[in-house]
Amino acid sequence: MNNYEVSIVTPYHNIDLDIFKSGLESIKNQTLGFSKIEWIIVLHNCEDKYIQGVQEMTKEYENIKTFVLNNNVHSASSPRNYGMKMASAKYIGFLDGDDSYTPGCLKTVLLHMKKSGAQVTWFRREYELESEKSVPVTEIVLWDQTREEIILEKGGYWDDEKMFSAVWGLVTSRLYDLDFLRENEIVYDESVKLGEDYLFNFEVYGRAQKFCYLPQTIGYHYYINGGSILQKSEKTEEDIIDMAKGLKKIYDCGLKFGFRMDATIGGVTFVLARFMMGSSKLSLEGRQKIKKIVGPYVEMIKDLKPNKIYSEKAAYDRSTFLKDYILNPEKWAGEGETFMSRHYREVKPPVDQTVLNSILENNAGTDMGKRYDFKSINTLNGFQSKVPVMQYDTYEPLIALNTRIGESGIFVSEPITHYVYYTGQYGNRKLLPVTQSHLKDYVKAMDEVFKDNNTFVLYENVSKPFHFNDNSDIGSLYGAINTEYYKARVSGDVSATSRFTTPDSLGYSSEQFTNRYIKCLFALCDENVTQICAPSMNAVMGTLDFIKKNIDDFTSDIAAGTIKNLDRLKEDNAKALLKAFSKNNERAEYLKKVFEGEVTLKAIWPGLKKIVAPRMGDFALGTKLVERVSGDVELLDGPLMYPEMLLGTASDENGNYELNLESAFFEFKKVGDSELIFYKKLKAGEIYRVFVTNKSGLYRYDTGRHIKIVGFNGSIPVFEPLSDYGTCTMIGNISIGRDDINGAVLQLGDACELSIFDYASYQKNDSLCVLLELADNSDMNSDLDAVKHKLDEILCEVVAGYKSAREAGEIDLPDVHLIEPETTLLYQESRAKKLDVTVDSIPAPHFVYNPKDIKFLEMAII
Amino acid sequence: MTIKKSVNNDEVIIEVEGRVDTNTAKEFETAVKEIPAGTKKLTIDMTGLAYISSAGLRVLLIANQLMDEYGEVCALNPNNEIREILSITGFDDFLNIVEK
Repeated sequence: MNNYEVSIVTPYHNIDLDIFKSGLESIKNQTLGFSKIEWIIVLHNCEDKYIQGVQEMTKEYENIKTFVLNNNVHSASSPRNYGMKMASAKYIGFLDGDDSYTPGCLKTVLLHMKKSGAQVTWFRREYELESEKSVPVTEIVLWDQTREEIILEKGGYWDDEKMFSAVWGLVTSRLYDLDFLRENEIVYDESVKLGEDYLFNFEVYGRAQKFCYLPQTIGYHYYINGGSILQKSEKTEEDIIDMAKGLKKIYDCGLKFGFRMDATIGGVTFVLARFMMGSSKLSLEGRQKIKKIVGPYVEMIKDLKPNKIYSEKAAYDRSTFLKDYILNPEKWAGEGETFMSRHYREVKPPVDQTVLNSILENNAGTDMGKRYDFKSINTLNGFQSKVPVMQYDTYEPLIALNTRIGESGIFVSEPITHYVYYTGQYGNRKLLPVTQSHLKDYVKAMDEVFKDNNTFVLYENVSKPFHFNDNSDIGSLYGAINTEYYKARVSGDVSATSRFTTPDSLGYSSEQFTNRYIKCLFALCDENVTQICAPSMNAVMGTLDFIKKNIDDFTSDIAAGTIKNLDRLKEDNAKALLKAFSKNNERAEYLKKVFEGEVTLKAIWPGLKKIVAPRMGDFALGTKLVERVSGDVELLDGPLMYPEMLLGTASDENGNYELNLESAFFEFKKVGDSELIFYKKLKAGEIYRVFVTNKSGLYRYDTGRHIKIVGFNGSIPVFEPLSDYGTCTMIGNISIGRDDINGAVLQLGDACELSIFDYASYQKNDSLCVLLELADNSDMNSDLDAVKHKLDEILCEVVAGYKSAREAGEIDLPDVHLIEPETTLLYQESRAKKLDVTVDSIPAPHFVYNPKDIKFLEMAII
Repeated sequence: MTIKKSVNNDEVIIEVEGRVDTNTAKEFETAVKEIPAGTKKLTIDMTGLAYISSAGLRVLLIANQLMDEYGEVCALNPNNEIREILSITGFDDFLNIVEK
């Protein structure tokens, strides 16, 4: 007698052994425990080399059983039936030979199945495409996906519409009670060639009493290759007629149990219709036979309503059009590929841009909107009472459903175009959804900055050409804005007076490597630059240093009209860049002279008027350095942009902002209070945590960011952003805040006449250790003892309790070291590499806690 | 620091000896950037490398970015100290460290 908890049946037919191996690994890696799984592999009509390959790979495991089955059935039904007969556990699942389970799948699903007593438990299936030509087939659902578990019971809660919508009939992302299947003699009908799993499931759904749905459990990894029945485009007439006969059996079964059949008949028959459209061998007679077989069922379809599964056009295709296509064979005979391509154009949903009411109205049909009944919310208080405050944890599983399964409509009705990553110094990479209407406000704000200017932009480019299964891409916030700004320029939706030093072929290219050099080259060549826009003032200094180091290469390229490293770009891009670049010997000579002496930005670009970049808080050190080379160029804060909100627009020269009330809906929590208030109740002098409801489907989202209200412009709050408010390091019993250290290091630079480029700090024994990276090598011989005592003096002034703790001998004199140039940048770059994000997204190591990071930085002590 | 470069079909070997620090990193960077397009493997022979600073490590990052689309970067025979530096900085995640 075995103790297997679950039997998994795998039909295997000549699958690449490397692909099969990943399925094997997934079974071995199940957190349930490999030994609790009985894996039955049925080698169906296989070539010898595959039989030997699979047997060789699995022979050492006694719980993996292989069987050879040869017959004339060319579908998975027969090996599945065979495997079911061999299975010995109480529960059974079907895993295809080229697919795999996620590690926690079986444990999680069995837990829910046992707890609920369901005869079937359903979980989610993500997909991976073999090639771009493969067609995604995914399980988009109408269930409320904000819930972890939904139980349905005959005679209790039941929802035909949701159960039998879209691709509901798959057997792979399910576990079944095997005793129940055997008692009811439910097996696969081996004569059915298309949709045999639907027929199996109709039998199951008709006889089972209880169902467990797990909308958030992504357990099955579906590898979509070009060889499955749905992926092959060309079918013979006989094949298609056989398929139609199979569909008749499926529909008869569903009708026998009285299920709602519109979506199933519409959806599955439309698959048949696609085969008909793609077949050049289908005669009029064949079409007439098909009409006779499935026509009566197609006639039953009522007009399907558009929803998130079916766009307006897709719903039309599966009802009105399908009836016309199947029921009028004479009309459609002879139509082929042209018809298909004409019929598969996407319909884009409308974009809306209003604040809370319109956000709620637009998203009332989402799972989140239905769960919290957005439709019934009429007041702000109603909003607060019905919708809970949410953290990233709430969104994380929902975002996984979007990105891995290709789900949509869970929390936002508009398509998510990008996921913007953000990371704290120690956090993992998080993804925030961004829609086009959300980004439109950012584009508008940036257009205000760009218009009437010739700008040298130092932001990262658009993101890497990687797409999630919901067709979104991933990148930095600047990358997402850049992408949308470019689209807006092409469509003429932004100011026509904006000019950029970087040609479009580079600025909107995802090729990053040679980018910095070429961007700088074009900017240096252009003497009419009027402003620089950067993610930080440090980035301006970093770029100037880069130019200084490579000035010989730049001037030789400008003099000769050449571009170094161009051969590493894609050919089209390289050509476009060369076309846009022309030699300018006079400019090259001018630049050589400028860089012979003390360089100022105004000397490089005499027409430079502004530098737009965040200036305060964490960026204040960079601002100080830029001030030394900027002369009378104005330094300005740009719009205050975070992935989840465009929080403010620059208000004054002190680094304060006006709250931007047009792009999102804000709530605030005073530090120490529990109540969330609206902007009209904000008070000057108080510090608040910000919560946002935005156009990308974040509702009452806790951003973790803080602002201090400094006053009002009319009724609009003016605030100072507090970077990482609440972040502190403990030295003995003294808490030193991040802003305290920023301020202290800034003062230290002034007092000791040090050009500090950046710094890192951490607790070491009973003292604060500060590592200074200097901008100027000549400072390297500073008297560090004097610097330590000065820092001690400053900390005594700015940190509460520090002075008395020092006097009582509870904490020691701070430790100060100099570190090699470029160390902090190296830290940011290596971390960005590890998290696969752009450097802009990684904060400087001003506060370090992780011993490995400390070791990293200490390694660079001079 | 001395640098020797050799090309073997689509593999480039850069032999670095001595110390790569702020002063010498630029030369190292130039050698890395000059590797021909189409190179499938870049081997940094560290057998004679005594010290590498942050500036030198940044050149390794550049090498990795450069080769990302074309092939791999190998660090050959780093001494124990340099191996530890590569481990602390997380560079061993993306550099293929080879002992011969």
